[in-house]
Amino acid sequence: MEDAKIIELYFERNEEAISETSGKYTPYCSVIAKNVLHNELDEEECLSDTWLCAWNNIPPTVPNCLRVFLGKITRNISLNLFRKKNTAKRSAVFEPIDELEECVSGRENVEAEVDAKALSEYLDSFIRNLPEEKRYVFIRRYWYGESLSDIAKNAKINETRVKNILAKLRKKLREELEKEGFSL
Amino acid sequence: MNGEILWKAIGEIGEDLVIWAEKPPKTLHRKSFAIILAAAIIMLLSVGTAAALRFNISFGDLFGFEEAEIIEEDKQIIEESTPVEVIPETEEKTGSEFTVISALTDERIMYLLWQFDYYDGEIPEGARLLPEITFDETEVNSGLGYYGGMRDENRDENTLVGYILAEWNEPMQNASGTVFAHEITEPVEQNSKIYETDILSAIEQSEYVEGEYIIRFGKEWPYGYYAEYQWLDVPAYEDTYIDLAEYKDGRLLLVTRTPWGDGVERRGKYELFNTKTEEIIEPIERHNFMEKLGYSFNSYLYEVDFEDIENLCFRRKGEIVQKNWISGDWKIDFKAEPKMEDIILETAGENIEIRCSKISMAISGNLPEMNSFEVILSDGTKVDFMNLDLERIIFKIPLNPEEIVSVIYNGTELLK
Repeated sequence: MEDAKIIELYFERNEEAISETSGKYTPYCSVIAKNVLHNELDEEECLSDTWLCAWNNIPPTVPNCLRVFLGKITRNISLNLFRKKNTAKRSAVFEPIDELEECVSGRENVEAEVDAKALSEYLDSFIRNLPEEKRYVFIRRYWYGESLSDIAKNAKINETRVKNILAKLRKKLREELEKEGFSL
Repeated sequence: MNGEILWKAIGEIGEDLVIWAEKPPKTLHRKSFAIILAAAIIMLLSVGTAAALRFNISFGDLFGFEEAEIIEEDKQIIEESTPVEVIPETEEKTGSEFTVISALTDERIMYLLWQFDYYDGEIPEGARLLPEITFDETEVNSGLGYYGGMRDENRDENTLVGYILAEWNEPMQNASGTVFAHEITEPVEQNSKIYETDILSAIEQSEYVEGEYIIRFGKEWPYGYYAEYQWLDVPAYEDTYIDLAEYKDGRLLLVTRTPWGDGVERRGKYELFNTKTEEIIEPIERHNFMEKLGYSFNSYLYEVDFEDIENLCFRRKGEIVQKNWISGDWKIDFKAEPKMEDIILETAGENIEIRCSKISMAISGNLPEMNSFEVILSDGTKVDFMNLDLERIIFKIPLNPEEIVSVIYNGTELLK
């Protein structure tokens, strides 16, 4: 079913919207969930929460691209679930976020200070200006949460190159965030 | 967690970017990105004596025999044409230098020797550099092997050496290439842990009692007696216990008990550690002598002063991972051509051709899938291989192809 029709079902509060959504987008969203959670039961829980979140948000939201809209929800929910399941395990880290720590100063309690919208707009511009290979690797790692080996395999480059690209980009991002005055 | 702020912000980038990255862009495959072991082209230049003295690696180092066995005319001496790091002409060098030294090439493969010199300090022990080769115009294949640059005790502490073994096909032989490296890593121990262990208490609590279980040491101990002991339950670390602790004549004997069996998570190596001197105390004797009742027992004998015992504890050794030491942009553009010529071995079968150089062999013709393969030299030596792809069978050590007397493929002799 076309996305426009699925969205119509949401607006009609027809519960077929959920079955159509899950039927069409489970493969897409489960890849994102799997990248974060690595646990089938948690992934299932995450996907269920994704469909529920979509139901609760459409309307009033009208997604431009339903796929990415759902992907974002899955991305956020899977991270929350990861945090919840791993509170007791100090050693549990989600590597992409751990890596992104290199780009920030490590100050405490900065959430209130950062203009989230401005930061996202800046990051959008930063990513857009990257050469294609670097842009692809960056988005796969830090939007999709993909593993280094999967990125290497899909891009047909070796893992060392992926690591090198990301290390350099993090360094560059840190410098640019400081220059732009983002106090993270 | 501020990394999370970034993560969330990245989540809000334009949808078109996210959609764009669903599949790798096609241009990625047209470029020859970072594929290790592509064939390289090397510029043939003669090297003066002064330059030769600077290099610390040789094919003798690589193959473990005298340099003289690779004769000069087989070896290409090369020189970088456009080094990125420019070394100023002063007496004291700074920065770093990445050099491609020489190569062995035939129609199919290339060994490329390189050296990295660091002038701003010492390269950490265990540091690694993994160079890669790329071509601008030509698609290349990877898969053979390379040796990551390593310091060793025979080398200068400011130098890493290594080699690349690359495929060397015709398109590559006509193109120009670049050897580059972006990072040097160093081994870092992570996830080590120090446990609070009261060994003095364990010594005080140890006693020999008649017990249900008799445990015999696997060999004669300095004290030469059986030990019968009670479970002491002095937890040293997590699920391991000290079952016996005795100090006598400057020696500390510890017997530990750890759960054993399927499903038990294997712990890392544990060491006795002096928290005051921050030294690891190595045992003078160590035995694993019993797997019984679901436990594994280890005994350790240490030489320690009694006064040091209060500073001793157990430490779990961490795992060693390679972490970034320095990043850089080292690269060398170069050109070359095949050097070693093939000879053609006389074969018994029609339509089977065997071409052979000192470093590799290629067999073409109507042959079934390989199940067994042997090459034998005139002195009876069986040749060892690094790769058995018929298009490029790579010898572990260079040889004289005229000394090959037998090539046996699936039990059938191919030579006349």
